[in-house]
Amino acid sequence: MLVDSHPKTFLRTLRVQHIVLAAAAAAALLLLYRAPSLWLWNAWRTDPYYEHGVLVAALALGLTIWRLRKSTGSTAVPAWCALGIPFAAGVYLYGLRTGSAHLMVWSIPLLAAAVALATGGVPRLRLLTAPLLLLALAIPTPWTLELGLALQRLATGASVAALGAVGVPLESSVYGFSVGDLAFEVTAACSGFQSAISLLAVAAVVVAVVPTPPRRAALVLGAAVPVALALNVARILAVVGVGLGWGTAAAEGFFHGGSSAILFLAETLVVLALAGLLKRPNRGVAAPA
Amino acid sequence: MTLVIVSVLLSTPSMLFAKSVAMVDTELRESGPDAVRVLTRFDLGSQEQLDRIPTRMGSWTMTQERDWDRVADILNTNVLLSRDYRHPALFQTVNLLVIESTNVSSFHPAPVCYQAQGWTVPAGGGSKVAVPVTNGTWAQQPWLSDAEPRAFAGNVSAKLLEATKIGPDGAVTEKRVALYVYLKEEDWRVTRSVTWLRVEIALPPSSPPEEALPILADLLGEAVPHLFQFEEQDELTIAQFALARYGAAASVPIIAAVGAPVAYIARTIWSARKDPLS
Repeated sequence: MLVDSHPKTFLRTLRVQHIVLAAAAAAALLLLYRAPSLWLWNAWRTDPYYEHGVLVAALALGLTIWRLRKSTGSTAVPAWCALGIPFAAGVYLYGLRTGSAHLMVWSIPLLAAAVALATGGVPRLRLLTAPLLLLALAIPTPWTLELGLALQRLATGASVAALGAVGVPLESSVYGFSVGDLAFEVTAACSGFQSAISLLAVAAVVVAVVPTPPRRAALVLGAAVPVALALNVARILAVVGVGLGWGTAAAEGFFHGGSSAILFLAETLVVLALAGLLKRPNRGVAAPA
Repeated sequence: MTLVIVSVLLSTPSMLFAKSVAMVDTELRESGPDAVRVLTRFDLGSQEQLDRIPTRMGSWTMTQERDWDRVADILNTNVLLSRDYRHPALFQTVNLLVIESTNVSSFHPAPVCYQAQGWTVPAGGGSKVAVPVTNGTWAQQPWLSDAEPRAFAGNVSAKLLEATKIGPDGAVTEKRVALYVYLKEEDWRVTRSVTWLRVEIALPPSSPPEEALPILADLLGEAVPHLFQFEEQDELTIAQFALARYGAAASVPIIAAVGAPVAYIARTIWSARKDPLS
């Protein structure tokens, strides 16, 4: 059996050789992940579908530190728990061989999970599952673009249907529609993808912090994406309404940017309300008469 | 440490020692089998330098230049060149489009880009074709004498894509055929920037896309030498070079370099199994 030591006791028994090994490992990781990390950072800066990346990654890191600090005790780790590391390494190597930046970057959370498993066994992996899944929301996938375009079409179709239902005459295209002289385009930023991912991240943090039974936590997490997409369509309709009532300048100006923030606040309140309603009640012992 | 050693053995010298490597490829998100390493003649990410692309290339003459293209909005980039070129034997002009973007993760592959503009494209995303490049040059200096041939005479793989617009009755109302490649600047096999190089022509709805291939290939073949030179392609990985140069003797240090850390880890795990308290 590989015996795990709690992080605090591990730090106390640190020796020079451990420090040298850690430095070598850090240098190796820097060499291997320099280019993929720069790719990921570039995606967080320029990709309209992943502008939330820095915030979500920071939330994941904060949740990791918070959970590790709360954990107590040591557990025996079976030898098979080390198998995750060569698996993660294999993913990286395959990405390097095929020139797939996605695979190389996705090996980062896989390697983190493998290290968690190897050092703390299944309990530690279970402890860090939530922050790792949160981190996964910040990493681009090869199919994100197609998903984002599908959401753009969905948002456009829903907006067109809603406007048509109230009798607004319009002409629609794949990602936009025109009402009279006004043309509206549902761009990547208006697809709802970012709102859905950001709200899912908020929901994940909430259920990780607030004591919630697993089934109800899944319910809260499952409601995040539909809520975000529905309110995104509502925002589009509001922008159209402002445009029709006060012109393009009003719709593209303060309201367009301000409505995004108001929308996210509303979505967060919905999720918090759901989590608060589903919070496990305190079953205190009744005071003796 | 094993991962580092294996990664180095699978790397080529240019991956390890060059700041970046430019590849002409038909695939966007990973390395295609026909990717070709090139040296760009100028910075394709600079709008000023893109203007250096000649207005006359072979029999082609520029007739119109645009400073905006719908594609640039979709791909979220400001650096582009969009020109129409005319051939004396043709009535229809051919559009040459060069777009550069550092937004790699959400750069639309060509089929997706056309779909985003409302076009219908085939499920396979186009077919791979060979474009002959007869006036290309090598980037390397001649080795033995200046009499060595400097001209590259070979093919570049490109993709031929047919895009159509369908009317309410299901009939094709518009058809465009594009021939394109991606120029990817790579660092450690990770793409840092993408340049989409595309030639496109409008065809009658009933014409097959193969009719446009010789026309498009001619313009693309003329444009390529003005954009980049070809580098030596048969670059071996470190491991391949060692085995090719030193034969079986090279396998010993390779196996030792990879096997030693693995053996150490296995020994540690085995020892821990025997004595959990060690």
